[in-house]
Amino acid sequence: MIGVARSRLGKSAELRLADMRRFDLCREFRLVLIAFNSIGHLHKRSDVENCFRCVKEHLAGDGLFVLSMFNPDLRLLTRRADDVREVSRYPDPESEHDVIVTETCSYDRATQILTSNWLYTIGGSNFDTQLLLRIFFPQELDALLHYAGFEIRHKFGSFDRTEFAADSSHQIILATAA
Amino acid sequence: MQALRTIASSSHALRTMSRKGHNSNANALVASRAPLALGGPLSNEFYKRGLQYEAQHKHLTADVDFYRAVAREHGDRYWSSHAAPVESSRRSPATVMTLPDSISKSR
Repeated sequence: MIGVARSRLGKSAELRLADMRRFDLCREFRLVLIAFNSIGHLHKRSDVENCFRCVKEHLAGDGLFVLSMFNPDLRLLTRRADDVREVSRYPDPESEHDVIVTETCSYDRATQILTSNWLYTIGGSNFDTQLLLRIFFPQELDALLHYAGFEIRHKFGSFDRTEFAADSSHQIILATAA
Repeated sequence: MQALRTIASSSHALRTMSRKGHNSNANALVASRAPLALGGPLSNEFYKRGLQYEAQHKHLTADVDFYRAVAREHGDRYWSSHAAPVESSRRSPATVMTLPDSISKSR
């Protein structure tokens, strides 16, 4: 993935393959992002605590920490494991076919880990990928940030910056060091 | 759980990594204007044929636009997103980190 990203970005980004739970880049940043549900890759509380600690150490005094994660919907989490849902369909730029993305998922209520299996069908071929994402409920995510020493400045429910509410699709948090 | 680390640096990184120690000399720091983005591991195939295509077809546009706006408002005028780098981003590259695939697969 890093190689592919590097080929696209060239020198516009410095790419590092590392452990987001423990890193020291020897510099500070005015903005630190964890976008696109990536925090869900941190499965254990200690993973999150260590990551947030590193973020805080790298955040400049006036720095902003922004993260986004979907707002878990219990109706989706309790779907049957054999329930196939189409999640996306778009033209394949390399063929005349559409890319059709379908998903099945299962949710472990003890670990709060959602296993999503995505099947990409392009014409007569397909490939699949599996994502194991930790689910963070709203108050839980707020508490993790609080106890890691962050103060939440804004919490939006969508990318158009509407306030977070029960029916929000996302949790988008802008935080600073407390 | 293993934690691999492979690091690539740019000229920007070399400029900004001039201080000796992160914790011992914090006051001497000039904060990077470009953001640090932390991400998760994805398979090459998923990245190439999934996310990139979705980004190209605007499935992630709202997310990207939001992050770009936040970056601009916070003074990072040269930020580039992974989905659509802007030309001027070469002046101040973003730093992106990710967990290695091996960590995710070991779970």
